Amino acid sequence: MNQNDIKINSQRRTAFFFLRIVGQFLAFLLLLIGIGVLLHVKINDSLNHEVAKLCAQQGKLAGTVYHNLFQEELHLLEEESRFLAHGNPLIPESLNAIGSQQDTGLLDVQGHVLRGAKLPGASTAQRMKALQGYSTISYYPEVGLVSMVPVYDGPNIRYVLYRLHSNKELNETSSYLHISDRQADEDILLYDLDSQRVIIPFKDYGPENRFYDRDTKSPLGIDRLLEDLSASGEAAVFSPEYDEDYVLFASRVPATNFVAVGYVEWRSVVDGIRNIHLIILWVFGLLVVLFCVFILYSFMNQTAAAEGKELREARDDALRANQAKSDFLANMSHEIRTPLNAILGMNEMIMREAQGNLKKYSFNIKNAGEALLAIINDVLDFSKIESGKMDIVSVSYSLSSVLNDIYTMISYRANEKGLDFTMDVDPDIPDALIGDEVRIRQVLVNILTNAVKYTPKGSVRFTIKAEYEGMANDALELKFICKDTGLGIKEEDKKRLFTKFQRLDMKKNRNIEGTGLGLAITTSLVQMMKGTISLDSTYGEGTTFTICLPQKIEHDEPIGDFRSRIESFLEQQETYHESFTAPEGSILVVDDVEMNLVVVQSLLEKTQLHIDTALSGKEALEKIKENRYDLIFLDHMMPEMDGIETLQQAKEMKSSKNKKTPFVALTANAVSGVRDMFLSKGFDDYLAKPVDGKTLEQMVQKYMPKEKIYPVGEASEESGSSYEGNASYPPESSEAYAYDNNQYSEGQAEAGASSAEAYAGDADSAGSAAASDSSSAAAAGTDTAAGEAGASDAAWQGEEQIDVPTAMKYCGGLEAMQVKFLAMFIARRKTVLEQLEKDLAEDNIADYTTHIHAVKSTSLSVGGLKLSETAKALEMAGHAYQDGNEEEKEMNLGYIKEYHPYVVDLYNKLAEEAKARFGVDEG
Amino acid sequence: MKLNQRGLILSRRFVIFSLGQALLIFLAIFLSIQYYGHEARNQKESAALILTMSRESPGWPSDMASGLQAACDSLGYNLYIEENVNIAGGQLPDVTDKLVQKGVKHIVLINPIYHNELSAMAHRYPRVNFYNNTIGGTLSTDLFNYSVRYYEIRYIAGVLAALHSQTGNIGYIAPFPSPYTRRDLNAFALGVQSVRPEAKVLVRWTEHWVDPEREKEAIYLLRHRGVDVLTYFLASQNTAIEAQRQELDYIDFHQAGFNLPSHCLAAMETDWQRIYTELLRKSSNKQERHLYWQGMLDKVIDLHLARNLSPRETALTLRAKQKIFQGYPVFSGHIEDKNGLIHCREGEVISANSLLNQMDWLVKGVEIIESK
Repeated sequence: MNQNDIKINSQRRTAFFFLRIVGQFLAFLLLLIGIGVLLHVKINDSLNHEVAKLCAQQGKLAGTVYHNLFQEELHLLEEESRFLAHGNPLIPESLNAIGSQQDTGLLDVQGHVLRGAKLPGASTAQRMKALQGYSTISYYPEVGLVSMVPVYDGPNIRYVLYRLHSNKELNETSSYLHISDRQADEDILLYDLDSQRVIIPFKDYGPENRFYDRDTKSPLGIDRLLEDLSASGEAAVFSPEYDEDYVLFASRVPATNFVAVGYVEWRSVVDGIRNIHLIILWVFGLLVVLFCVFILYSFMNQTAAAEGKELREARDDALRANQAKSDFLANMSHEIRTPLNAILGMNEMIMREAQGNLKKYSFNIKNAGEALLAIINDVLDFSKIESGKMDIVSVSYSLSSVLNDIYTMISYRANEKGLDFTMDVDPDIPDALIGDEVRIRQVLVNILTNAVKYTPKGSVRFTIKAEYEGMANDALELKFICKDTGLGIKEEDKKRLFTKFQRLDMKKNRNIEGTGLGLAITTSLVQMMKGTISLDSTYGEGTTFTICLPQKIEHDEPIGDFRSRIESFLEQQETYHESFTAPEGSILVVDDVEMNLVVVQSLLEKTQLHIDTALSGKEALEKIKENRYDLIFLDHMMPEMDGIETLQQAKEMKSSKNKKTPFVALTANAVSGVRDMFLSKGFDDYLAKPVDGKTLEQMVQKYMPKEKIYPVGEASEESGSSYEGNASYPPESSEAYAYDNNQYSEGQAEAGASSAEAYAGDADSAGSAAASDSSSAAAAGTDTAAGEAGASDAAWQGEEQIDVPTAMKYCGGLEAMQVKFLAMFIARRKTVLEQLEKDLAEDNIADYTTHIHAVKSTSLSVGGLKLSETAKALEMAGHAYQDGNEEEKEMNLGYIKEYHPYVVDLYNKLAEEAKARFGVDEG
Repeated sequence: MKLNQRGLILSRRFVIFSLGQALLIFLAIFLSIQYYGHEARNQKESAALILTMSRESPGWPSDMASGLQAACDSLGYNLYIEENVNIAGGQLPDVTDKLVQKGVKHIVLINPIYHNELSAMAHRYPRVNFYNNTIGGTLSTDLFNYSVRYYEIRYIAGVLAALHSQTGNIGYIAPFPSPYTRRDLNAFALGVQSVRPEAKVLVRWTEHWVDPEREKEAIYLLRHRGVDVLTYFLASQNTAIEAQRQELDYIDFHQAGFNLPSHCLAAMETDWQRIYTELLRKSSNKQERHLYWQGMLDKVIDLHLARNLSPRETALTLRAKQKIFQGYPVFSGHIEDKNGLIHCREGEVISANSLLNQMDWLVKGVEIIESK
């Protein structure tokens, strides 16, 4: 997918999203409008219904008015009839008395007109009603409105009296039956159901009137009203079909066959109710607006959420990419480091043999290689931090020890550069603290190395203080202030300073090497330790870094006068010898290679420790069960039961006397992270093989109960001279210390450092690098024990297999011991080789790996560098064989079979050389 | 592209979902608005009929119940029918309360016998209209008193009976003497005498509105006295059924259906639907009269003639009907009672008040049959 496609897709997606939102909005709006219309219709409907009801009531009222009028009329007529009855039998005379009116008439029971106007035939029914005793009123189109009452003669009816309202009279507005004109806003007429004619019209009723239906020649909407009336006493209609502004209503006039029909203006009826209607519509309108706002708001939210989702996806992509980058960097650095170690190792060989220019070139290679290694270590560290694999492991440590190390390292470097390095330590700071010693060391070394690096002249001042304010009782805040008189940092660069891969002021600093990762790593580490780092700098004058780290206090014992301690320490370093004896102490050393056991025994001989050994995990467990030890060294790689398993079983052992005994792992694979691994598996510490005397002693001293340790002081002077050699590799005493320190050997601590010691401890190359270091010292022809050993070298003409300085290192600088080791190594040759051949013949690569592993470490301790390297390669192939798939298995097996003869050859050569150089014989 | 299609499907689904949701909301609002309006507007009026017997009982109960049902249907009212209510046992108040609680606005009864209790009920519920069949009288002004001027039809029936009778002895069965039974009997006798002045009307009182045994006995007695045509004034149709069984010609007081039984000369037809429709419609106006006494002029009653009558019988009977329609009052002209007392002279009409309250005499020519 190219850029264009992505752009088009993105546009399409945006358009789609927009359309969707607009669609949704429109749908909701339509819904609202629909509801609004429905509501409006419904309210109107209800309103009209109510209006109709009201008007129906009005109609009823009109009906009642007519009813009352008629009742009055009939009542009057009844009065007259009673008068007539009293006048009986002189009817005509009586009639004359009341009959002055032309419109009054009298009928006999057969319907003959005795007096008055003749009535139409249809009036028979009315006469019958009168004979039944009812007073009624009816309308006859021919004559008009007739009211009729019976005239009694005693208990029986003799005549029927009637009164006629002619049509002409009914049409006159002056008639008292005309009620319409008394109403201002309504027109009412009286309608006869029988004849279907208008009896009493309202004023202006006629063909020109709006309420006159010309088609039917009847009042407007009368059919509909009558239809409604059939079910009830009154009815009302409001429909544009008849009139848009007027409501039609009708009501039966009780006790007659008449209907009062009226027309009233809609507006006059609903005036008040209309307001309510408007209010409801207003409120609804407002609600619609509010709803629209709400919907818009939620759509905006949705948009934001969608954008957020895209951002999240982008971030995830970026994180994945970053992870991939970190992984790549980590892998790459690791892959580069291995061959680089080999290059540097080889270069050491060249340096040893080369003369003149060649030596100079190889020295350059060394410098460049070491710089490269430092960079790679930086990158590795950084990728570790980025991928979150870097953990802060808090342990108890001695601050003075850390400061010592830093002092020795930095002061050496500062001296080299001609800088003045001073270190001020507050004597009241407690010495025993709890924190991640390794990382603190790394942070401080980084900062100080930088200071030294970027300070061309002047001084670097390192001040350490402790702050207790705002801290818990058992905690303090260490404040490290590093002040230099270096180049300084520009104001605008300060922000970028802590970002990764940033190197400032490139123009000025182009000759200073670095990855630009140092401060980023430092910052990350400080943050991981919950500390802070700050910077104060004036460009051209110098920089002050302040690092604050919270630490826990283990003991309140103060650190004391650090300067004097340093001085005494340096002295002590120079005159180092075995520092203690522990005749009551008892340790167990477990290793499947007997020689390693002997090495340990030999190295610790002078301490008068009681040393038990075991050749397998099984044997070790038995011994652990039976005896009580102060310290147990346990080899990691052993056949049958490895160290970790042995440890687990030992810890699970119920009847163990060694519940509290510290276990120290022995490993030849002291790679990065191995310390954490061992600690997590239950070990208290670990020791890289081949073990060197000093580290071993320190380890014993560290874990042995203090009461069993007796400092020897002057008492051991006789052996002191032999140690001097080891401690006096001038001027690299500090370097020696650096890699001797077990903690330090974790490797990348000195990320910013560019000197050899930075990688000397790097686990992968621990053996070779250390060896080459030492050997370079040896090659430099210094006045050491190795040098003495070199004197006997002369007799040996062939390719040198045994590197004496290396060997000396592993046997505490004791020549006798070196020879003893060598003898043991040679003595085992036959057995070892046979075993290897056997494993190979049986294709038992697992055992082969374990055995060749043993060869790797033992050969190194006698100075057999090449053999060790080759064995290591085979071991790695063995591991690869065990972990790999079929194809890899075949390849690795091929490799092992091809190179195994070299091991045999090298072993044999070494034996020959041992015989020739040191007179060590296999026998 | 795949992703786009998927997106399209999802969006389409979303749109459908949204539209569906909108539609549902709209429907819900629409229905609720409709419902509220509907409920407020279409509150049906309700009427109730209280019967002391089953609504299926032949005679008045079934005629009136079906007539009222038809009237309510045409007016759009609900009708509740309470059957077998023991009014004598004091059940009326409970039943009334129950009906009023149901929202009934019109309560119809068919017997005039529970007058006092009914008045009390009408007084208690002034907004409810009570209607009672009072057989011509006004029991209470709290009620709507309705009845039918059967005497008009009796007159015509009398004409037919006189024409049909061979013996000139015509039977008449009624429960007991009272103004309204005498009124009908007198009208019948006047009808008989209008065509056969010498004919006799023999009356047998059964003392109950419904009593099949006594009715049977009455038929027997009347036959024994030479009666060959019979009519009656009773709540049930038992007499007619018994007469048919005994092959005695009779004129039925109740509706007898479209095809009259073979011995039925004619049957009085009452248009209860028309009566009740008019009643319910007019009662909405309180100013209306509280007495409804409708007759042939109101077209609520008629005499349904059998087809097998002789042409003379048919012609003369129809002429009598015509006479009534043309304004002839039944109780008019010279009327003399058994004791020779004159109640009406030529050129006079007996007043409604006299008909309702003062009919304590029997027309000359009426003979009461006593049991021996």
